[in-house]
Amino acid sequence: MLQFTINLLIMASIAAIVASSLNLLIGYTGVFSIAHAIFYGVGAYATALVSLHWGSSLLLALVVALVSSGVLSVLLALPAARVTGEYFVVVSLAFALVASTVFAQWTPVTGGPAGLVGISRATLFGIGLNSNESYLVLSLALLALVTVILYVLIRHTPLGRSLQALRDDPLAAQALGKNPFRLRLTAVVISAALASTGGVVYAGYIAFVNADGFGEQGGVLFMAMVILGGAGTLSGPIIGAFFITLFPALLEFADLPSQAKGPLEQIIYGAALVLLMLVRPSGIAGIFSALSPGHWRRARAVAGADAGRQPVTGVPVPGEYTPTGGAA
Amino acid sequence: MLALQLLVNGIAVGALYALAAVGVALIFWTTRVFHIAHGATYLIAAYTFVSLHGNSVLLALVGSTLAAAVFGWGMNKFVYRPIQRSRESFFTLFVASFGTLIIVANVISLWAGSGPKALPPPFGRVQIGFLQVTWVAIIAIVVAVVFLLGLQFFLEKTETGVGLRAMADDVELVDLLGLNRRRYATVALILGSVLVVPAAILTTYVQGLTPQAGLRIATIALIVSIAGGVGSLAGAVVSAILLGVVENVSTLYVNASWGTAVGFSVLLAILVFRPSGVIPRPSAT
Repeated sequence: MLQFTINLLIMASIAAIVASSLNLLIGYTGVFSIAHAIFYGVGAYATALVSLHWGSSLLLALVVALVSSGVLSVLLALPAARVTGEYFVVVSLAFALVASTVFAQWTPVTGGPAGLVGISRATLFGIGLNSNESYLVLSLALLALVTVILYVLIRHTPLGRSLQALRDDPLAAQALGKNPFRLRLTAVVISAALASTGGVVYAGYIAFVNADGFGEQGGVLFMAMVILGGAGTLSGPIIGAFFITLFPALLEFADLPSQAKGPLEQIIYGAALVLLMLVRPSGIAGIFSALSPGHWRRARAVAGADAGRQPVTGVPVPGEYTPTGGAA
Repeated sequence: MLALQLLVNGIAVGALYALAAVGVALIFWTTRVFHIAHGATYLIAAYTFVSLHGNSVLLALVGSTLAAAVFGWGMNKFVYRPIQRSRESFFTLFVASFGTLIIVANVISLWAGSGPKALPPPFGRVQIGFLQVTWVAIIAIVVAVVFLLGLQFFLEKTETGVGLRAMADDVELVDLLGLNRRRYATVALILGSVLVVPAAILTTYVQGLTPQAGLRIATIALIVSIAGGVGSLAGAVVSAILLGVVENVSTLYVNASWGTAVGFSVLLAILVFRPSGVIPRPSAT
């Protein structure tokens, strides 16, 4: 039972790392990507390859994961130069489909459908992280680190403020001399690199990597975590990730035929997404902040920013081509 | 020879993609929703057909058309319109649409099992010169041409059709003219959903059917209709056929499992270098 709980907490923390990274795009930059499971996957594959060829150093795995994921994400960011808003969702969906095919079919490197086995637990400063408990500490520490990085980036750097300005009003941000493409590119690279660290923990913990969970389906799940928890808040994606990871564990105790559990879990996510969009699009974090009067203002600002994006859709920003073919 | 054979197969597959894509395009013009739940419509139509077709093919056709139409209508009435009423962003609509697809795909896999379903391949093949073409491929191309020409005629010649095109250009203008845009949205959802029925049935004959097919076909339909140029039916059709052809012809050089990825890469490149689409609308430039 203890091991069961530790396992759940590790998986939830990993999910929270990826969801928080994705939130930098969805919540703070207004770039709607559902390709983030790919970067999580790149982190996992990078760790697997490092472990199989170069040894178990955690820092080396992290560096390789950060760099390869950051570099690959430029490919996703390129269309963001010209394709914005809703169109980017479709671009990221297509990107996820292409990249997950690479995971599943590039056999010499990724092991193909069979995946990579025999990944060793990481070592940090000569200490082997062999127990599950140590991986729990590792995943929680990494989640804390990612959250702090995001907090500083968003609240205390010019980059963070520029990104939010771009999200709220692309036209005004451009008028102030901000380069939308460079900003979005930076955000995508940082976000992808941070997400890959979740994959580093995952690969070492599970000791096995294949393409399952790193494709569009996984991407949708991370998106769901951000949205359910509440985009544009630091706590939202973490709440969403824990909710979506821990909730199905309750089904484990229900007396159901095992092949019904997977679909039933998915139906619950789906229904939660639809109902939440109908009732309270600002997410679970929005519900909590609505309960505490002190945070009411911020919740409203987030919801307002969301609604404020409405008129932008379909209206091309001058100087920035969008595939509406509209007046540019 | 093989290349030509693959080209013909590609056109047939592309024709089916086009039928799925024009529905998505039509719905996007009028409602500004990325209707990824189109994949759910596809699944509902295909599974209805598969489960009824043992009784009578005609009954199965009518049943799946009705089911698709009712689902499209319900999506608009119970999901999209309530969300749009509270002026939420497109992403809210997209997430709700995605949620619906997840629900439908998994309810179906609870009910019918997650394994593949197949229909007995009808009619066999025909030899045209040195080409071996399946009758299903020929039917797919003919059906697609008939439906697309019918849709084109409807959009050009009927008042409702013109209204739908007007909404693609400028929703506010439609309001100003006192036209009922809610009615157009309803029409688009029902029409778009019905258009996916022939694609669902014929694709099931060719490739079989699983609950995962919904997301795949919806992704294809979405990217094809965006890469084609918003507001451009011809663009959607051209990029659908391009995807089908690239998917098939690329198997000359790479393993078949890479086909869709290669096709999508081409469409992504088009979006990067020509973001207004394959055939941008002249009126909007």
